Amino acid sequence: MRSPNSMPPRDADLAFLPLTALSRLVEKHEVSPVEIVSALLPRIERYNEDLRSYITICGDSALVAARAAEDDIVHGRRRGPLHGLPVAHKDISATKGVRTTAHSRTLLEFVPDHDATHVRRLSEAGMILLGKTNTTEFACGALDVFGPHRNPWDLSRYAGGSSGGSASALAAGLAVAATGSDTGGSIRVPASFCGIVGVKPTYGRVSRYGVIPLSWSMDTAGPMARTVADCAMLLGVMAGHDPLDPTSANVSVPDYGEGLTSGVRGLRLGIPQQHFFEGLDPEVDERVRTALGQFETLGASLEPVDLPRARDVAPAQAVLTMVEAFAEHASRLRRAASAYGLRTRRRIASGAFYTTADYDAAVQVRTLWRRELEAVLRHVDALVTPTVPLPAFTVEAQLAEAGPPDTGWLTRHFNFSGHPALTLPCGTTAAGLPVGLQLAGRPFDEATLFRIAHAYEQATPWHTRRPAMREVV
Amino acid sequence: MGVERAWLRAEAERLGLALTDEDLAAIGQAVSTTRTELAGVQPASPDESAGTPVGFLPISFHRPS
Repeated sequence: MRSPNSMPPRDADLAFLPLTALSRLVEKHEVSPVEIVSALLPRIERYNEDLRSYITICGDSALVAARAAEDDIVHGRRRGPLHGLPVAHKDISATKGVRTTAHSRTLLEFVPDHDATHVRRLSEAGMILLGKTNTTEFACGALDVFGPHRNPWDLSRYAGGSSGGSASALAAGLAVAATGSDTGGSIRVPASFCGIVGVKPTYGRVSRYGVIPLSWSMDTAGPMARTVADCAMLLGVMAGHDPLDPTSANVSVPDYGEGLTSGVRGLRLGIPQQHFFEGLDPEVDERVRTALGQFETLGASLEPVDLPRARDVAPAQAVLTMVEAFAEHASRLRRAASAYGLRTRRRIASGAFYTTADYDAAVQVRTLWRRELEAVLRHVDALVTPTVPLPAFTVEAQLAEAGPPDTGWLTRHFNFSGHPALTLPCGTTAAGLPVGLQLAGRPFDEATLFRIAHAYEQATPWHTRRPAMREVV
Repeated sequence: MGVERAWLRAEAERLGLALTDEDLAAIGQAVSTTRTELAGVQPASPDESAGTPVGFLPISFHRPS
């Protein structure tokens, strides 16, 4: 398939190339889908035991699909830019014929007879299922069955939850594209901890059909990758109205590639004066403020904005999440409470003990918060904040009986309101741990977030860094 | 804002949930803490009321113009 005079990229290089670059190489017949999958599988075999990025690896079927894609592409039947490229799905998204466990003992034998809509759309675009990535149980709790997903930047550290398997696989070069789900930060937190890009689209932008629910009013599926352009390319396929999901929005999906390189000159970026910059780890604070300066250098204006209701969000979002999670899990909890991990059981069951008055109060807070946020976003193009107040902590801290630090402290606000948000890397700590920068914007305006993020990414080196891991021989 | 253990136990039984005493203790603590925090952020006066809780509706029902 390769042109006679081109040099073959090394497997490790292939594993770390951006999806957009791989797409161009495949289009030019310089790299084949089989070579890409063959570059990733030995790395998964070598590193997955330590990282626990994957719960299920679809090596054989991925190679079969890669050969079929190669045949199609060689014979002029290329479906589009994602054809022949592998993708890893969080093990909370249904995959037809491939078990979908949600990291739960209650679903160890669950093999769906259908694909989640976003899985189907990526498959129809020609992507190859590489495997199912690790998650906390039902995206909210225990890590008992398959163990904790570890951080490639420091194996003693946690990769973040709940889409941490996808994030660690991308950071370690065990995947070139992945998906996750985000109810309070579950895409953005692990993406921040692992130094990759993660997108929580607008509520309703990506169908949730086939995604095992946690909170119906806040769950969002989204792309994860190593660059902003890669995420833009994935979201363009994942997004769109789906009649199978009653909360899916019938809003047109733009070409996210257009305007990606328009820069930030003239854009107004809102810097919240309450909550989002309070109590930060000093290194996180310094890296994010340096990033703000970079945006000014690139021509954006920084505008202080008042969002006092941001401090009110945490308890209200917790009530809605747990009440809705219990409603989803009630019958399974009645049948098999002891099969749930301890932390999952207690968190989800807590939703049974809130009153209707608690729920109504939480909904009122949501209304007030959204109103405040919408008013601010009429005057600025996006908000810029840290993604997580601290860098990745240890696996032991994650598993401690007292519970881990609250990682959703700065992310849950945009699940609560439904607004789109993304994270991208903006530096590292002295210990070499990634720090993430969060951008949040207007409903259905992911394109502006991609534009801002891409401009920053292209002006900084953070997306090119790789964790120091011994290469596969 | 405390949650009575007896109420938790009775409610769990009514719902058919096989939760241990340790589960109920942890749940009671979490619910109590969250409820206290939520009470602290409620609108302070009727003027601050959100009125109809339109926030109940997912954002996708509000079509961008």
